[in-house]
Amino acid sequence: MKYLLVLVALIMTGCAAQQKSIDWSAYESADPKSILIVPVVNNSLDVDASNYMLSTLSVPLAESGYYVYPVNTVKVILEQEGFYEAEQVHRSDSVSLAEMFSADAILYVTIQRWDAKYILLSTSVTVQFDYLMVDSEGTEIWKAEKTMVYTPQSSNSGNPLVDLIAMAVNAAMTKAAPNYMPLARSANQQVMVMEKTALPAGPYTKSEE
Amino acid sequence: MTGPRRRWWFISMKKLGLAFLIMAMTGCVTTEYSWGPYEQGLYDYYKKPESGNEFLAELEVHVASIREGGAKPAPGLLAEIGTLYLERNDTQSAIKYYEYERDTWPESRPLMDSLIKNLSDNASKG
Repeated sequence: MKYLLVLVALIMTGCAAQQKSIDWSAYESADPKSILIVPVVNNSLDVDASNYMLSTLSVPLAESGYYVYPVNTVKVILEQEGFYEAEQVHRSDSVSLAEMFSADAILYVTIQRWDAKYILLSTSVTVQFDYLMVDSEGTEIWKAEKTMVYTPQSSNSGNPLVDLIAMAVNAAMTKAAPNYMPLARSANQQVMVMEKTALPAGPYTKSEE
Repeated sequence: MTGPRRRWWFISMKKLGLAFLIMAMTGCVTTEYSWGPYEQGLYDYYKKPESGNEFLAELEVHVASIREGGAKPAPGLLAEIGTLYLERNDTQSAIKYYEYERDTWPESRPLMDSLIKNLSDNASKG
């Protein structure tokens, strides 16, 4: 029974959206129903990060009740229109971009960090993102930023030598194949669903159907 | 009498706890849509573009099962299938899926209509 209470408490503190000190007036007056997610600008050194990040954005937005344009289709269309780099898309006029897709809002995401640092016996993986949403007039309606750091927990077997070896193996494995995706997904989840920046429910939510 | 009853109650509490744990681990929200292989498949496709055929086949099976069940596939999934077909030069299948997307999601209509129009025009020219 006790552990059940702990779980319930965990769930409640983990999921409660705290609405405070955020001005939602621009968002509410735009009242977006459809969101265009454009290719992600990448300021990290990992060249693949942009596409990987792009693959994580549709689910949390659609689950919040919005129509989300198909990200890969959008990317292909933009490339055919001559926008091969995400920077070009982000620099271009939001109003004509929104018009081109008939979107109510555009989500721009920029990767600031996507790296793994190897420090002696531990590796820490860091991702950092800027999120910006504008309406079809180009007015900023939502903004968030998130940094997530993952450092593998050091094990404690009581035998210092065993622990050292375990830590080294752990760090080497993390460095060889750092797994950024859970961090990226949880960053999105936090800014879009859980924290004070959580987006209001869109038109396609279960309660309204 | 009370013995078995209590045991039943105990087991159900355990199950409830497990259900909570699963909810907490899966991000504690019930999902609106069944995304199937979409998110992971798109990641794999970007990582290894040669996995595109597999991604297309898996997505197609997934949306077929959703449509059979009478539910709406998640926003964009049908159009993504269309685009994967288009990249494999199967214009007819691409148009078919763009039409599905358009008829499922009114917000997609202007974009899907213009994609379908362009593809039909090109097809009739060729």
